[in-house]
Amino acid sequence: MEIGAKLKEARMTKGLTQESVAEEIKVSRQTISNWENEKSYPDIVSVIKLSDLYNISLDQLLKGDEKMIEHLEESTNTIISNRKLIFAIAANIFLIILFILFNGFIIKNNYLIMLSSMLGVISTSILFYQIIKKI
Amino acid sequence: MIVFAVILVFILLMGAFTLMYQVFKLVTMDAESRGLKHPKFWGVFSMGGNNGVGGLLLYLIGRKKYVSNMSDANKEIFNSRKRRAGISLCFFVFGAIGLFAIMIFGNI
Repeated sequence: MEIGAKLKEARMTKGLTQESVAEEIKVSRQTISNWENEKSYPDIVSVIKLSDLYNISLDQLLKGDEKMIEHLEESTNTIISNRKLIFAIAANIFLIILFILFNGFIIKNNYLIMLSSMLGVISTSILFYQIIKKI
Repeated sequence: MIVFAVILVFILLMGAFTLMYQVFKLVTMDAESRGLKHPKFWGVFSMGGNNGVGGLLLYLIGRKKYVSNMSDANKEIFNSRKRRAGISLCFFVFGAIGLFAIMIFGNI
C-alpha cells in the first residue's frame, strides 16, 4: 500500500479529522489532504510526528512505497546528488576572489583581461548548466 | 570587424533566447509532472530573477515537496531538452567570448 492510503487509514482508525491532525503537527489541512492523496509527500520530520500520532511504526508507514523512499533519498542525501553543483559554485567563488585580488595586475595586460573574461563566462555557464540539470 | 561583431551578437542572442525557451519548457514540463497549478506561470517565473537564475533557484527550492510523476516518454523529451539547453549555452558562451575578444583586441 502507498503512504497516502496508509496515512488516511491510520487517521480514520484513530477517529481524527484532517483539521485536528493538521493542528497537531502544525501544518495546513490542505497539506494533510495532499499527503493523503499523494499530491505531495511529507518530509521525514512530519512522518515521525505522524507515526507518533497514529501509533504506527515508521516501518509500517514507509516500507513498500518506492516513491516515498525515492523522495526521502532526494531530499536528504543532498551532498552526493549536488557534488558537481557545489564544485561549480566553489569554482565561481574562487575565481571572483582571484579577480578581486589581482585586478590591478590583470587590467594592465589585454591577454589577462581576455583570459579572465573567458574564465568568468565559462565558469558561470557551467554553474548555470548544473542548475539546469537539477530541474 | 563590424561584420564579425554583428555575427557574434546574433549567435549570442540566438543562444540566449533558445536557452530561455528550453528552460521555460523544462520547468513547465516538470511543474506539470508534479501536479503544480499553473505550470506555465512557473515556466515564466523561472526565466526571471534579478541575476538570471534567481527564479529558477526559487522554483527548485519550492518544488521539493512535490514528487514528479513523469512518464517515460516525457522523460525522454525532458532529457533531450536538457541537452538542447546545453547546446544553447555553448552558443551563448561562444558569442560572449568572441565579443569580448573583439572588444579587447579589435577596434570597436
